Amino acid sequence: MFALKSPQTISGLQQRIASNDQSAYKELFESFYDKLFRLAFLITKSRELSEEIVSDVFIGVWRKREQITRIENLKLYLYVAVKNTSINYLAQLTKTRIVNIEDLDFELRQPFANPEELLVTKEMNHRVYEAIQALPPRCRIIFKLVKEDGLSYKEAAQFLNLSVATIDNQLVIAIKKISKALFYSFSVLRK
Amino acid sequence: MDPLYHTPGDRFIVLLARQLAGTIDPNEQVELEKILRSNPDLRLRADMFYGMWEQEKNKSASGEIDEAFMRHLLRFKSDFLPEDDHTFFTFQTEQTSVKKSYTIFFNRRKPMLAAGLVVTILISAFFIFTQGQRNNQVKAEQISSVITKYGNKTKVSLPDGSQVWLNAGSRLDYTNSNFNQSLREVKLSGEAYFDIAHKEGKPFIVRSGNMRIRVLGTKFNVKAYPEEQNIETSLIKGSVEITIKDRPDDKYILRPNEKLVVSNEGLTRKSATINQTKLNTSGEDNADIVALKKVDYSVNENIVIETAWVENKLVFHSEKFSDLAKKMERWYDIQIRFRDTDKAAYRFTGIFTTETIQQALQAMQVVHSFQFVKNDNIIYID
Repeated sequence: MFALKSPQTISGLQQRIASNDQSAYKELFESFYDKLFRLAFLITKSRELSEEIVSDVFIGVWRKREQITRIENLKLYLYVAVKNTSINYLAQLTKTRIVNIEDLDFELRQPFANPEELLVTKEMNHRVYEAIQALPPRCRIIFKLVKEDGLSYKEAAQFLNLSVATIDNQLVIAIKKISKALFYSFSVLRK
Repeated sequence: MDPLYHTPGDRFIVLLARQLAGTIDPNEQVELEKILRSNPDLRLRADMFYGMWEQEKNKSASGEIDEAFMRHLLRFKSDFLPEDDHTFFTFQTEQTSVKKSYTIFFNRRKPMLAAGLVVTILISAFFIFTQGQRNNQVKAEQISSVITKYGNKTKVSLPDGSQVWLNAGSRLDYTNSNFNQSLREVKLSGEAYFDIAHKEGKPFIVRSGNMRIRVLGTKFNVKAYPEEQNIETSLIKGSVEITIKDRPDDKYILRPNEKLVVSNEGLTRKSATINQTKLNTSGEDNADIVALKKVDYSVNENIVIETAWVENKLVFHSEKFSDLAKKMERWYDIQIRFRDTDKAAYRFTGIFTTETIQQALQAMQVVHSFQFVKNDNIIYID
């Protein structure tokens, strides 16, 4: 099980990697592989390519490990590196450049991992999923980055080149719409 | 002001959003708790969102990630590791035929193993990673490397049932434990003949030099010695798709009995120019990089030259002495030096099977006149 890492844990890993600690390197890989893979896949739509991109970025991390402590936010660094590498790969492949990552289509995870524990019915889970899918593209990717990738407002803002206020607003819109979908489910349940 | 901020319910959502993103400040936290205390309905909703966020902490199939990490290490070692960097992955190795353990560093310039080791060596390399320093638990994972010395060949059965014949002076790396699960991937330096078991939806990938060969189920030969100018892929049966690093938009699809020759230096050096047939590519300036040819049949024997080594035959057809010499060096585990460089341009056609190096050279003297002197392991051609 690889939980989301707190900033303290990540900077701890950074220190250890800088001093040649292979197990810390592996831990970093394991913590972020899945999320970075999904990010690359969102852009490239190719499993093989996505895996290679994440691999390339992590190879870079090990090669430049002496300087790794200079990176202020390693998590954001990894996200931006995977994003840029993916966009470059895709540009090479298709000779077109993606202007806006917000325009990309992607699939979200199921909103509830353990619906039973929360007494969430199938129907409710489905409604919430539909509500998320129906969000405007920008709103949806912000929701994804904050929920699934655990980015903070500031990190999401830097990643998408948007203001923190925009992230705040957009996430509020997302939560509101999902909340409505949930509330509707509740009222149905009560009848 | 933003209309969303107006009612208490909307204020609740603003605060909840910030809390979920971990950017809530202490005052807002107090404010949110107050709202939740006085409103059980909102409390219920907040709990649903906490539940939704909670799951991300328990995500990820660790097996898949382990597998991905092993493939990452494979790429790491053979593609990118600088020549002088042996700080990464010191590992313990186990040997099947000799009960001794060696430490190997990846350093391509120096010989990989101490001299005098027997024949073919099967190494299981255990990558030891301490899993969290608290409990000191050690977890071992496996990458298998099969290495053949000059003068030797071997046959390898991969976990998925595929067969690989490894020619002299070659090396094959693959992950052992999770080989079957999704992507099957091996790394080759040197020459190998592959007979790949067909597995639906599980492509088999061979990485070699700057080339990447993707197949489903097929028979083919790859010759990719670092010291040779060209990398050759010869297809015997089925179909393979080849991409070259840095040129991901060019895909070469081979048909049976076709062979693709790519310059080893990749994109700068010129490869041998041969009768070009059709190339399945979009590019037009590929002639200096690659060439597509028919595989060579030995006229009398009706055998494919590219794969004859699998049957213990050293076959050559109108081959330059200098190129043949490289093959003979690996075949016989000797070194050949041309003191008279004119002789290196001679061309030979023939087959060696059980001949010794002396017998082979004597047979060649019948065709072209040259002298040879054997001094220990070195043969001088005059």
